[in-house]
Amino acid sequence: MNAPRKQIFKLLITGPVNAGKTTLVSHLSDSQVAATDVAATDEVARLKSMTTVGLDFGILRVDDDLELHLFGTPGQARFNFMWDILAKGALAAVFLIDSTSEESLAEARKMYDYYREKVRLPVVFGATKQDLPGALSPEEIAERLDLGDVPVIPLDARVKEENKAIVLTVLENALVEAVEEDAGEADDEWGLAAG
Amino acid sequence: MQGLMVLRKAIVGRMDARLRAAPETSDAVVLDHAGSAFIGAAADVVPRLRAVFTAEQASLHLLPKDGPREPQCGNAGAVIAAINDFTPTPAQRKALRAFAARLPSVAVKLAPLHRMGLREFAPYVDLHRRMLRDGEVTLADWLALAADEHDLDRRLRTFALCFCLGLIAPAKKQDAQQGRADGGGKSGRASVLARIIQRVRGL
Repeated sequence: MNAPRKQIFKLLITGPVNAGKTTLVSHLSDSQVAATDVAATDEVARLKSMTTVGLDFGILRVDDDLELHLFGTPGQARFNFMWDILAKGALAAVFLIDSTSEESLAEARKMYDYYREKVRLPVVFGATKQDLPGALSPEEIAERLDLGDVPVIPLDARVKEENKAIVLTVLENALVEAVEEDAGEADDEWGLAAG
Repeated sequence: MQGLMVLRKAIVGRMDARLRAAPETSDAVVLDHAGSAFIGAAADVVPRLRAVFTAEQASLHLLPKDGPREPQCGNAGAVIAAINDFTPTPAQRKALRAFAARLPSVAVKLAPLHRMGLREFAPYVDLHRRMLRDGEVTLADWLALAADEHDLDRRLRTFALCFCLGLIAPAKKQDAQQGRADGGGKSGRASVLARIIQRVRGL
């Protein structure tokens, strides 16, 4: 008898540099995170000394036959092409944005424009560094990025519970959408007839 | 609460359909829905929606896909506008509460409804926070937390809004075991998500 095949699904963590993606992946993973950070050499060097050029990668083992793979994508819009590969088998995406940085906002806009056109997974934005002077509010970010019905949640990316909360939010959003897709035009998705 | 049921079905299913409702407090109401909008001007659609919320008798009839489409009133904007000024009568309050009590525990989807014109965003955020904290929410329990009648009405408006717009769905916790047998296809996606959510919660 064959052993049941392991199911693997992805959660994508993206957004401009220096927004907290690597930390979020590490907080949500129970395996060693593979982080491909190098010394920043371009304009990113003004923001932080190390940046991710490949992928942050972590695994959350759900049970014996299900794993969630977390991918933290590089924080520059020039890597948008990677979405086409990463989106296969993905459940949802979290965009993190540095609320204090105009550059972050401009880069997020480019990344999200591409995402909105090509990917269309359930998505939630996390607005980090809200405690710093000059931080844009979640509402200002939503307006500047023209986010429509996408939620923007204030987030301290250093706090594990807050990272958990934003991931739970996007997964619950995906769950509600999936339940509705399954229900289709069913008359009794709520089980009221049996009640 | 057939009115709520048919509204949800038309909106979530993106149906081209005619809703007929028979509220107790007004004449029969007819509303046409196409895709993701109601047919008609907001001034016309919104009062009819308000009447449909509490209609005990309602039905849905499919319309041809190429029927008249203009003008249109988007689902979220129309339902929010209707909910903003909806105050249930004592009988409607009782009926809405009884209907909510029949529903299983729910998962809640977060959407920026305040950006779409919802005046009472706080009860919705509270409902979502409780779901995040506890894994799911039983609507009857959440409504029972109302401090007074005014608070109960706010919660009932939130419930009706979330139900119609598909922002709540039956929680899938009970299907976690079943999901292992379902595989990862479309039909098993909800169960997979439910298992992952349980795991993340336990981190």
